[in-house]
Amino acid sequence: MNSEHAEHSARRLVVDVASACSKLGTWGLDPDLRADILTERATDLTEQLADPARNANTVVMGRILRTLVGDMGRRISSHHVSALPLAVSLSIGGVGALLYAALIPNPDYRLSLLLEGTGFLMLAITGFRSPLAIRRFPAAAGSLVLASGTALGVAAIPFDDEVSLFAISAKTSLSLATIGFTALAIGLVTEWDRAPRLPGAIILVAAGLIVFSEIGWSLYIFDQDAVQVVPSMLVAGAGVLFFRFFGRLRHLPIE
Amino acid sequence: MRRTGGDALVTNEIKVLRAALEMLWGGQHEFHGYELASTLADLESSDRLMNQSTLYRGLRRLEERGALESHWEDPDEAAEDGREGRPRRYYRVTADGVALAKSELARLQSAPTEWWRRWKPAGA
Repeated sequence: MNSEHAEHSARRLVVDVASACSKLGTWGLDPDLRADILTERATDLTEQLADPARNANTVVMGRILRTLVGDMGRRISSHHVSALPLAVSLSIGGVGALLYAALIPNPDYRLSLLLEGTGFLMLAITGFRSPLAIRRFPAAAGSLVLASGTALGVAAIPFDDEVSLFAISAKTSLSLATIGFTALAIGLVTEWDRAPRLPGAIILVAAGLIVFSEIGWSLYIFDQDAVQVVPSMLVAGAGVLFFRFFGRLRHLPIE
Repeated sequence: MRRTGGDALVTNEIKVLRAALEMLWGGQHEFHGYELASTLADLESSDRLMNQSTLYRGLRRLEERGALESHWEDPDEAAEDGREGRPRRYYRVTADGVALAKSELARLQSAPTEWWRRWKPAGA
């Protein structure tokens, strides 16, 4: 009786997991199409669970996981990829960085932020002008300007007096961003890597750290200089959007 | 899967169409997704069923191409069969589907020859 109950519970769990995975995998599809897919998959699962040759829980779970991977793969390799959302996030980041440059008193930071803002906007313009393909040379030029801005930022952050978590995080993220943007620029010009995965991965890590740094910095300076929080949060917001959309860039053709 | 060859079917679609044709030639004119997945696994002598994402995307794509047509089972019939809320979607191969299979077969047979013609070593 107990083993029957355990088996029933396991089956219930398998069905619930399959249903949740299918909902996740089909999220955002046309509602009618999605309803059809979910019904068809649920029926398929019922048939499999009734098939003694292939209804072991491990076999069923294996297929559910492969289905989830398949759904994710379909999303990632979707042809409906546009650089527009990325261009919007880059614009927000560019405006934020330029605002930051206007507000910050330190001339080294200002120059760094000015270059970063310019680089962001150059990349944004590339995306707006050619949303369905990456234009190699304009994108490489924007990446190089960004790389020089982030490199100046690395040099400008002091590391001699009290070392704060913010300084470590900012220096690390900007260093990674410098490497990532330089690699991206080189990759774009030399076609060393037509799908810029490695620089993309580096920049994604950097973007994550920059978001972390900016949010931390915003909280730190909130009661000292609330005005600076605005550009800082803009950059952080852009970083979140950037993080969300950059991974899809590799699916765009490079011209 | 990214398409690179225009209208040509991708590997998984060819597998799905092949299994559908096997069932047609075996006298089964209509089939549902799970039957097709089982047939395909049997054809490949594999224990693993094609995952649902690939399977139903392949079926949908073949239907869009006119190679298959489908209809839903009457929900009352499903309920009578103990599958309340789980109606089957039945597929059948169309004449266009048979023609498409023939053209894909011809393409696959000619592809190695074409490749060999372009890349064969001098004098071979």
